[in-house]
Amino acid sequence: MQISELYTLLLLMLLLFLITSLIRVFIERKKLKREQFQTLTLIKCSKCGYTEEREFQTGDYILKPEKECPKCKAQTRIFKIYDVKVPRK
Amino acid sequence: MMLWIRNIKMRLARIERLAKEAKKKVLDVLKKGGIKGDPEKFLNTYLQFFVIDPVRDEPTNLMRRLEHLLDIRQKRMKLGLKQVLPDLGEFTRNNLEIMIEAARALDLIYRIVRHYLMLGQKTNNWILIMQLELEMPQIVKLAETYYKALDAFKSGKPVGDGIGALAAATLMNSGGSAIKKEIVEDTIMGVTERKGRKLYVIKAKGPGGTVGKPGEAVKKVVEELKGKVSRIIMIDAALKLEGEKTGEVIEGVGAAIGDPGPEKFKIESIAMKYSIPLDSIIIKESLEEAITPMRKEISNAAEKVIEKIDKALEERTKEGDIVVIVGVGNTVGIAQ
Repeated sequence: MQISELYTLLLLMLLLFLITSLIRVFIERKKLKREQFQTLTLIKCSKCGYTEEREFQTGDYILKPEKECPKCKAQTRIFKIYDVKVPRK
Repeated sequence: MMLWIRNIKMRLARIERLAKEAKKKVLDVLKKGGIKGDPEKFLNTYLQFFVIDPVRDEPTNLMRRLEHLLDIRQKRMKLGLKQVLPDLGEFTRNNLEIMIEAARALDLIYRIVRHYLMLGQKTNNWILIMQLELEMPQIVKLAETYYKALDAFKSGKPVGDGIGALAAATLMNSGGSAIKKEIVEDTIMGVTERKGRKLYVIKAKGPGGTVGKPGEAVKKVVEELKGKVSRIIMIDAALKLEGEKTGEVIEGVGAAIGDPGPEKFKIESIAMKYSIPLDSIIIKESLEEAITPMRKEISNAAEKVIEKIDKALEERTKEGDIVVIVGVGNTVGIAQ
């Protein structure tokens, strides 16, 4: 094998290594972006069962008293806070 | 070996970045809270804070010795935070305490991986390097999980581990106005009636991030009632196996609690002392789901847990009986 052939082989190996590394980085980045979540707050009136879902706000906690119920005027409370998957666009 | 080392270094750099960002997030909260003194110096004190395990060769009083050490550690951290952030609310301080714990875990993971990598390189130990390379994907996942947990505690969102506390809070408030009191430090007990049975419901004091002392609380309640308790039912999140469904509710016996030992020991001891049957209900979830904001499927399990409790009350107790129900887990974002 001539020296120039050896260099070509080495160059090809280096290229192959670089390409596989790039593919790997790309796959890992894609994996990171795979799942997105959104936190929602569920407000419920314990008297009439009225429920309302809105985005989580800092300071929210389960059983926190909320606004008046639009149906029966009783005081509503935060019933649940949970994460839901955001569909990928 | 060179390729393995290169891969480990690449992933170690990611862990280092996560550990640094976690530290930055904690520092931001400390600064926003108006910390007295140097926040970095304060955080560094707690990042490498340690507890020396008690002697296990001599088992006498092992649980009490361990509890004593854990209490000292917690009190020291609480006092430290109170001294530098006196104006911050109790619940925010509790959440900050857990954020420091998560940052500490990340820092520890980073230092351990770096140690084994450097040791493998230094001694040219390819077995050590190979083991580390094979373990790296799981280690990185664990580090990412701790990092994600920081945001939940920063904003005070309930986490998956809080499902036991959520079920207990729902139960406490289901039968009208329950009488609630702080029975032991950071632990609330509510007395309510359900299906003609008197329920003593125990959970950690929310909405700050704490697990309370459920073992101590159960012991106190049972002793106060002179052992006249027909059943103890525990609710907790449990790690699922890969392939199992998140939010699945299953039943068993024994103390469902994942503490280092003292709280579980107290519950088992008091149940044994008065021959009280000990039931447990667990909700399956992964480690990531347990320490990140509660998923909807886990949150929906609270109703299924209450159905199981109702069934247990009807089938295994009679009207007029006293039942102690314990909702175990971190109560961040869940009041009572």
